[in-house]
Amino acid sequence: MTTLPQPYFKLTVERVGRHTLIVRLFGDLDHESSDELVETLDQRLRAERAELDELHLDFGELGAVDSMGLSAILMVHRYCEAAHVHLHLDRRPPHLDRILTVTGTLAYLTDPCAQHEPVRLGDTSPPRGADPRR
Amino acid sequence: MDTSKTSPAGPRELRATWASAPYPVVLADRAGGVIELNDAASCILPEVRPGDWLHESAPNWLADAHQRLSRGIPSQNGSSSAPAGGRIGERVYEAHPTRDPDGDVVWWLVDDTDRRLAEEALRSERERTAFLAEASNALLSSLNVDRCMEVTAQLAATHLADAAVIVAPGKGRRHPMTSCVGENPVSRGTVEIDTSAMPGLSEALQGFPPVPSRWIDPASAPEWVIPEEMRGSVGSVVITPLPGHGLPGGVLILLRSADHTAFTEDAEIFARLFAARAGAALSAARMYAEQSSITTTLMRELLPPSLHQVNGVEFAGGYRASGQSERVGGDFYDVHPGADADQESLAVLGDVCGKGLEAAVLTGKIRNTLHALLPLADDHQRMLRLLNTALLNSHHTRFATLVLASAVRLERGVRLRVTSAGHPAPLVVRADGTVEEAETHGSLVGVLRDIKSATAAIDLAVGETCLLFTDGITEARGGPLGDEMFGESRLREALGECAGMPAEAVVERVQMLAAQWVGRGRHDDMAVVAITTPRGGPLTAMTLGSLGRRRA
Repeated sequence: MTTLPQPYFKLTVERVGRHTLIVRLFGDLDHESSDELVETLDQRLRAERAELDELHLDFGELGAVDSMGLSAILMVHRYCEAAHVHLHLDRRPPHLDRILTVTGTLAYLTDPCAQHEPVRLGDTSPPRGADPRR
Repeated sequence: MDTSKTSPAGPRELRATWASAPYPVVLADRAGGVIELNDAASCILPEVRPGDWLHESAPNWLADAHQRLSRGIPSQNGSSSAPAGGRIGERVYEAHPTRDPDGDVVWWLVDDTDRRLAEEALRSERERTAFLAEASNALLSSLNVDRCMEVTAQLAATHLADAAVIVAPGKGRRHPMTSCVGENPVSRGTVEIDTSAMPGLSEALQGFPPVPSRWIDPASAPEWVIPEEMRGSVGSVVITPLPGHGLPGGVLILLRSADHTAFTEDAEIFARLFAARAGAALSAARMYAEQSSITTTLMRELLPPSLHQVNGVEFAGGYRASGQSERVGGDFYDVHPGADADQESLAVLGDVCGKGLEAAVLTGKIRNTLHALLPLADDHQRMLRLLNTALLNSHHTRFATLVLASAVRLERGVRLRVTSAGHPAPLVVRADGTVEEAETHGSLVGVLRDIKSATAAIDLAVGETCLLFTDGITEARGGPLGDEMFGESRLREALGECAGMPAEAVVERVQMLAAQWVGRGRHDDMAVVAITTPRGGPLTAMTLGSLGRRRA
């Protein structure tokens, strides 16, 4: 990659066709910027969920990611599950793949075949976990 | 009486013009004898009649001005014909002279009272505004409650009264008190008082419902209210509540000595304006103090324990909080000793995402849950699944990554079972200096419904160490260029030199290198735990008697 990461976080949301939303992230996704990603996508998904099938997060211009950044990606994944929208993590830089691998979330976030029982939003009681005796 | 100079024709002509003039006019000759005055002048100077001497019947300031003018002495502001001014009865006049060639002077008097009153009011209003601005600046520049009380007492004692006493809300009957007399230094203390002994005090200290300030009889004021310097000379006392944000801010008691004028209603209103500012500053300072005490309490609860040798296994831990001292960090570690030498001890090191209160709460939850799950520690997977279930929350995706390490001393070394839950894998330093990564990996806890993890079994010979660390170490930014990560390869290199070293020394070395790397730059929390097989047999006197969970 020849372009330097942007010093400030920025994100653009573009609707492509009827059913696809492309979100491009620029700069560091960290404790300062993670809320912006979550809030923006929460609003868009609420407003456009009826028509959307696919959501692409484009990390081609991503800077550093910290644990709050990963938390934000996990939250977006949860929103997508609730809205029955398929989440794609595109153009992942190696350091993002590394953090996803170490935390054991790469398959969870990127496996197109994975069928997760969603943790329902607004559910006040903690969801039933996997059977611990298994 | 000298009226010889009076020319019968002149005044009579003039008289016609002045007689009905709306402004008072007085004509006097060079020597100060009154020649004529019109009706308006007679009205305000009834005792002055034509033929009188100015210095005998007119106000002194007018007689003096006339004398100066006749002698050609310039008045204070330089010009001989500049207006003089002074009181006549209740009102204030400016006197403008005009002279005729033979030395007679016509004094035109202009009522100046209203303008002077307006100027006076403006000046005092400006002083008050300036004082309130000064007070706000002085008060808001400190978030220290004691300092705020001092400033309030000082300002009140110098600007509003002769002495000021502030009683803060206290515990039971004991109340912090700050008092100041005039320009003297402020004195502070605690008084044990019955608030009902002084009228208005208990209502004002409760803060609600808001009570107006009130005058009280100085004789009925309890002894502790009156500062020593003021004993016996107090003339008036006002009690003003200091309004806080939803909580009472305390009471401001203003005292004036008997030889000073008592409080006017105006002064009391002003005192209330001041009290509003002081109360806001004090309650802000109090809220800050409360918040920082909450943080301190949380920090104390979350402080890492001091580790030691347990059942023949050596544990050492080190924690360096991130630079922002007021925030509770997200790293933690614990060691739960096994009940006896055959039992495994469990070491936990983890990192909660984020910082601050929410991270602190999650950290506390994880530590407590793991403590409760200790009987299940022989199955790390099950322990992590139960922990994950306990942490799952539909409202957020705050997660934690952690490493579990169960250690037991065997004859020839330490047998370890290590499981990573989304955490960087521990590094193992062998006796020959090679560094290996523990083959364990797994998912973070707190977000996913299903988590997976793999446990690694490791045998540590004497002098070999397993190091658990948080990414604060490997991601510490610094170095020669200031923005390079410390990185895992540097950590491995450093560890390679730690073969055969005691656990404590390994931790110190790693912490020192990371700290040097960061220099003065900012860094995240850094936590490390070293597990080492010490020299000496599995059961020495040193290793016994470490039951229970040790905390710092």
